[in-house]
Amino acid sequence: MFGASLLPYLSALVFGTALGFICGLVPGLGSRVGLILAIPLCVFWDPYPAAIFLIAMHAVVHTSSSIPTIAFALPTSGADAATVLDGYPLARMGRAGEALGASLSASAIGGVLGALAFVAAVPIARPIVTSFGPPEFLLLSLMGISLISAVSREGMVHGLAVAAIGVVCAMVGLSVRTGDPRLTFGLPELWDGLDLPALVAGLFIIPEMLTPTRFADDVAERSAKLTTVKEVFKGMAVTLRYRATLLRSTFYGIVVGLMPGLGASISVWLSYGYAARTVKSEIPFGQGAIAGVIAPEAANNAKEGGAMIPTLFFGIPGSSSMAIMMAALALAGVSVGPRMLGQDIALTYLLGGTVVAANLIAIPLFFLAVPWIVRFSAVRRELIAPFAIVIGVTASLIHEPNLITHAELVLATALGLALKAAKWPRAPFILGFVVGDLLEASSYQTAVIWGWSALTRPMTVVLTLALVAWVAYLIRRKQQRAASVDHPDKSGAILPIAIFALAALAELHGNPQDCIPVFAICAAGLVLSAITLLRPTPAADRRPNDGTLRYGWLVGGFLVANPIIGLTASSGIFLGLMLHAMRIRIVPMVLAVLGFIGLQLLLLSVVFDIGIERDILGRGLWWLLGR
Amino acid sequence: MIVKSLGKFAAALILLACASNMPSHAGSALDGATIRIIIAHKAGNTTDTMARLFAKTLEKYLPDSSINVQNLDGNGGSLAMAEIHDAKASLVTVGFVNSSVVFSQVTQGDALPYDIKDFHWIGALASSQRVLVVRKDALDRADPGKSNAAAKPMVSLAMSASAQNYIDGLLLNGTTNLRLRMVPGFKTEQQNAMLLAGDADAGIGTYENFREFIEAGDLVPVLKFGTVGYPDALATLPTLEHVALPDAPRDVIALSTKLSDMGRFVVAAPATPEAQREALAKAFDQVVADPDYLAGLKAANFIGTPANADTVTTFIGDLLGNSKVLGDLKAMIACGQQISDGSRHSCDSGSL
Repeated sequence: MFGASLLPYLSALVFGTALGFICGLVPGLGSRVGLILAIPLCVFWDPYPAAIFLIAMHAVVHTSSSIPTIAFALPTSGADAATVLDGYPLARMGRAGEALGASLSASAIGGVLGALAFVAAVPIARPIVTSFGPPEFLLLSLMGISLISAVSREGMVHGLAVAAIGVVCAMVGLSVRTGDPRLTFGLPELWDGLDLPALVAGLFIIPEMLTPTRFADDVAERSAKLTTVKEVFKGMAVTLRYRATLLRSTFYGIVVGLMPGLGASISVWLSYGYAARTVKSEIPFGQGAIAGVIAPEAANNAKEGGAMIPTLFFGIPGSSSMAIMMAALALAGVSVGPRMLGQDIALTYLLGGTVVAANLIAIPLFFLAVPWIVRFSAVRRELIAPFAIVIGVTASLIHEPNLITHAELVLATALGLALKAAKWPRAPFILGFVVGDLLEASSYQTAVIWGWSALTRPMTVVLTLALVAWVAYLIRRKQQRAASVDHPDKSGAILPIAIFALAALAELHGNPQDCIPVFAICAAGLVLSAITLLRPTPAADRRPNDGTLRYGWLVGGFLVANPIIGLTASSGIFLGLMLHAMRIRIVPMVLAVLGFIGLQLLLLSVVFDIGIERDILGRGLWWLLGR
Repeated sequence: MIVKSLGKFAAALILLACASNMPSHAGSALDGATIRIIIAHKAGNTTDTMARLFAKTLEKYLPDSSINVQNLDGNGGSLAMAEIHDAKASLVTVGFVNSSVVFSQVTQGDALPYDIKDFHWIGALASSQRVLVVRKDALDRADPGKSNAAAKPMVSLAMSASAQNYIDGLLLNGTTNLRLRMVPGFKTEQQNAMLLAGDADAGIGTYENFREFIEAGDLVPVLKFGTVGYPDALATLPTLEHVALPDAPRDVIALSTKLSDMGRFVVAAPATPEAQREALAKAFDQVVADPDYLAGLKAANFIGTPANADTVTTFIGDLLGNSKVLGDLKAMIACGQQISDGSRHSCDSGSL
């Protein structure tokens, strides 16, 4: 297998790792786009080294994606949104180096253990993969629902109401039962559901960037300028103090990864939620708990090792990016399937070793990138915000640059800002969105195929007992509200109530099989929202907002102008106006804007192959030109 | 190894150099145009891989055009068709769809925001290689030659009620002795995992999707839907034509066979000007005969059985103009659904 020289294997490993690191670092790229870009490059290697190149690339994407997530609050996936909850607050406290160090070691350890699990699974791969099906997915989704309290520091009822909005949004699209459109308002573009990157950008990135940063900014700036490799090492060492969290999250990642069709975000949110409920932390979760970074990052990397089990051993992709991986491997001349448990076992061990090596090579790459990014991120955070907003919007529009995605982004931003202004939790939305879809699909599938006989499945019994024990534990242990948490404002209930009412009305004349789940969730949501209205808000918390929407009008204008005059033009105008409002001198302002826009154009037209004329110029100009 | 790698690199460079010097045989109407390719499937599946291979090769024959590729899967290809339908003439838009779009037209008709009559058919890349496979322990219920009415139906999974394999399952219920309980809502990878686990009894899909399981002995192919594009190992496998009931409508069976044989269509937006359509059709013919494209197909274990624009256009036109076959198809799908639901045992008129 190795032939006369190790050079092709080593070159494939190093180039693959470097490419994967870059794909994770740039918001909007990620594993799937990275794989598609990597396919033509496989021509430079023979099949086995080409396989190493692809696997190495894929293995480290989630390691580097934590850098923009923590430093700039730029999560570009539902999975990264869990890291931003605590990672970004840590960065704002001037502890970005520590957070990134913790993320690096958690990712590396999770990735290595995931790879070892992949190799160790060889003798028992089949019973593992075949043990999990819709009944087990249903129990996992119920477990996810139970963790809503963990991401709802502000109040369980508020968290459940926001999670219900997420579940309703997950129901947009074609019904799993009948195939009929549901909550699509007659728009075929919504048949495929809502776009998660756009929701994440609207709910998290833009509201975070609009949050005023005064005192915290000064602290962050001073601390960040002192950030050295030492800070990152400190963060790496901190991870080892949370061994139980690390191992548990890795376990969740591996288990969920090996279940085909479950989705990447579930393991991350399960890990985060469990850590939030069980780990004692000086700083509350959601405000900068280091365990809130460790848990999701370990799960995120570990799940790739788990996903390799069904993908490489049975040709059943364990995730959407693994589906592309399979095609890429086929084009590179590598066949996957049961032969990898037998005659190609050497390749199996080689690929397992590749994941381990790639995760270790990513460490020095991380050290190269992080100190500069951390220092840059802390310098006048106010200056970073406009660029971060444009990056977030660009990343969310890259894959689906149509009017509907623009609308989703605008509405998600409105929801995110409203919830933030009213001090309602936003994280439960993502949990509800990710879990809701799975809950409905798996409950329907379980009922249709098994009914009550599902309870006789061995893994179902195990998970049912685990769920019962977990719920009993939650009931016994009271959730402690952190003293510093603000109480949610009643005004935050207005938007949820409107959303539930609108959704219920929209489905009044729909197929009964599809309507009933919608009505049930909307009814629950309305009741929960009504309860929040009845709860009194303590007088001390009835403070007016502190200018969160200072630049809100500019951001709103940017979002609205986007589809009309195009992403490039609107980005340039927005950046110019924002920097001008911050009293930046003309020359540096123009240079910064032009340079940024040039990079944006390069990324869109070269890397993503997006048609400049239509999607960059915008439909307004496009229409004016008579096209 | 280094020599081989350098050799490959050199070959790639030479190929690129030759490509850049090749005359744009197909191109004058497409020179300077941006061609948007929409693949009606998720990235990584067979049609997606073939389409990307096609797009890469197309660049050789249209060097003065810019080609962008995107995936847009959902509702059996209807999402992509809707997007292609709305494309303006200024942006050349081409789609890679499979035969489910024809079935969607029949079953969803007015609910769709387009009519496939309006599209321009550039060609068909390959057969869809669709087969019915069953688990070994369900073989006793998978004999199309004997009545399975008394046996427990075989559970077969599909992504949605508009998916190709869902409709195929209903047609099998309507035209053969097989009894399938079609359950929608499962992603492809879930379908395979459940087949492996024994939670599903039968699967309908491309041969390539099941190849590893068939070679490992976990699944057994029972019949194939088409007649071309299958590997030699399936040469003796009966077709739908062979196993259909005597009184099953032959026009529906012939239609299903033909759709399987053509399988993966390439379609242009209704607004595409005639000159560009002709250029696309010419480029299509060149690509499907290109040695690099064929080598790529072989490396990925795919079999290309292309049909040109005229052949596909004639087929689709004849089909859509034949109200009898469309009526029979609808009737068989409806009956097949009742059999799947358990409210009917066969499609004999008046049977319960």
